[in-house]
Amino acid sequence: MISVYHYMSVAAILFALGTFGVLTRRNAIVVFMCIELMLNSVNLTFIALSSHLQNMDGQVFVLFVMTVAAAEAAVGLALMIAFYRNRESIDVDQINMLKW
Amino acid sequence: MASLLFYILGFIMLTATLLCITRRNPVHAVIYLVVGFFALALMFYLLGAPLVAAWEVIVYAGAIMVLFLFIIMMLGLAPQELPEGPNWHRWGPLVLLSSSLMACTLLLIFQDPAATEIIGTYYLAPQELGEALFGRYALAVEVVSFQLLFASIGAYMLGRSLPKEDDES
Amino acid sequence: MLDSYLPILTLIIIALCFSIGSVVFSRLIGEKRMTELKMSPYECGMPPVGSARERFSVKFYIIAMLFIVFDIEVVFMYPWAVMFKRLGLFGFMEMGVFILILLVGYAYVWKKGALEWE
Repeated sequence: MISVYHYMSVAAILFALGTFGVLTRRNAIVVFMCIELMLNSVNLTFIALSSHLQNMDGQVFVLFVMTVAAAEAAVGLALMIAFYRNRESIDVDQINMLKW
Repeated sequence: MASLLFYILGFIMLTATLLCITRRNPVHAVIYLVVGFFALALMFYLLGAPLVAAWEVIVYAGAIMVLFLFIIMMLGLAPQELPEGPNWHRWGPLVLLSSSLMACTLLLIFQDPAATEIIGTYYLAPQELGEALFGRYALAVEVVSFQLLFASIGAYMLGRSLPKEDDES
Repeated sequence: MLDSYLPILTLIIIALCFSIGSVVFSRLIGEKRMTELKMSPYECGMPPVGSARERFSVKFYIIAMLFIVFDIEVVFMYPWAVMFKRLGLFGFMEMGVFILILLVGYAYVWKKGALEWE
């Protein structure tokens, strides 16, 4: 029988994979996708615990996390566009100035 | 039945994620991530959260990933050389993962339409979620709308094409 | 309960059989002679003009971003709509304020001329 621990383990592996991607990739958009992946592993944890504790608050929170992810995607990708306009590249190693 | 589905979905999701973070071509990474999100949505359904599963597909797979794909195309980050015809070495894993995901979905729908056996003891109907969201969490919903307002204005300010780019330097 | 899903299952099976079958059979039976003209991408029957992967304007991004914002708005409407009767006037006002705040951003972006295509 599948317990909450199984789901939490999947979420933990997913989070680790996302962290690995953030640390190893140099394309800023892929790094950003890995951040979305980490948010999703947190969502899985919320849902698994909501089901385990018979409590709906976790699911409501997931809706808010998703909204944050959408807003973050819109602003973050706009930042990438602004950066690309200046440097003609989105390599994270080149993002090293706070002010242009 | 439920445990079998869990293991298949977990395998699909982790494989798709692993492939996603190792692809060189960002377009392929986006496609694999979408497959992973579909598997995650089915897992949410197994956990008794049908509305959240629908949100996962609508918001993540449908909107956010499309925006990512869009930016990759817009900045011209996809490799330029065109592949000759369908390349099974490249698309084989994707076809395999997505067809097994399709099989899982069909199994889930047709095996047990009322979903009494598959999903666990806890099931949150959309009605209950709506009642909580617009009752207890009413203020939070309004805060969310402010957040979206700031996101749209902020993204516009950052992404707009500056009128006098030559004068600034 | 299962009977009500039978037409959908039939449709899916027929669609899968037809699409897989037509690809597989044309591969098996068909004759393959690759010419350059045949392998070029189809563009309304004309010879293709330029690459399909050229960059496009940032205006598309503004539209896509607005799509995301209103996608989230609609997605918040689903749980509201199924409980519309029970939530009553309070829920209605709440959703009204929600939409109004989002419309402020929309009006701002519109006023700034981001939606115009000169």
